[in-house]
Amino acid sequence: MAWLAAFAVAIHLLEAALPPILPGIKPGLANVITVAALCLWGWPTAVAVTLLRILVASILLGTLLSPAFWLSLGGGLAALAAMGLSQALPGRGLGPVGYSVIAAVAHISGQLLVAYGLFVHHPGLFALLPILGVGAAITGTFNGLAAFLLVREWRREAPSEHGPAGN
Amino acid sequence: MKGTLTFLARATTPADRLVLIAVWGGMILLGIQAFARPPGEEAVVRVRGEAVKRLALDRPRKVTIRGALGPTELQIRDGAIRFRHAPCQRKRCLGRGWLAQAGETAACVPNRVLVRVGGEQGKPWHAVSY
Repeated sequence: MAWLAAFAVAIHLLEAALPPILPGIKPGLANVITVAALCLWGWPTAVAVTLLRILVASILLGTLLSPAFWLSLGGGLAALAAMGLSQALPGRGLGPVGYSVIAAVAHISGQLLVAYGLFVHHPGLFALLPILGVGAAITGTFNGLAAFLLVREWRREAPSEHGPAGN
Repeated sequence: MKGTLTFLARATTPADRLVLIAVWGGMILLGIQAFARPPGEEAVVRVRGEAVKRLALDRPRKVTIRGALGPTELQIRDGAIRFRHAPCQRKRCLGRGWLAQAGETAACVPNRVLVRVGGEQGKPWHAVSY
């Protein structure tokens, strides 16, 4: 699990260093790890990996307890909650793509709520919703496909015993 | 193209596909709704600091306002408003041109007439920072 979290931190940092394609929208690639963890080892692992990632990455980026940190945490918690809830759905259930899209939408919702509650008490903020939402749909879909490939790869490498993380 | 479709079909469960359709559909609808809204819905005209008229910017017309120096003509077209004639000397208000965005303002100072787009609450962004 530490291995997974380290992976996610690395991706998070890399993404912070990349120039944004559009202001306010970034691919959220670290969520690929969260989704893969969810599919392979369940929700508790996904929660642990995400929280560790946000904490460690913010320490390394120097944004701990700054607005960026709270936005990240709000988005992350919302995404985790949504994924946990959608796991309870009946039937064959969701695969990586479904989880990823749901997480992406929950992430921007959580982030907007945190932004509204803590920083910008102005309803104009929600005018950003369509732009962020379309961004979330796109990035969520592609991250989900990436997570699907990752899950398939890891399943093949570690068929039954304890997975590549050795947890 | 066909390869992509087979890959997509293999990568998703039926529930995944439902989620994809719902989210993409919802977001596209939200997007359309956001961009279909007309910009700067109305303008407020003030004379000597008092709001005398609210003008919707949705249909083209000319409106005459009684300013401190005399009649002043405003023109509305394509969701924008401008001063067209004013009895002042320097005509700076005419030089201001068309106002369309919420928060844009033009004033005819000697004539004590002020035009502001977007109503009382229409505050524009001065900057956006992430």
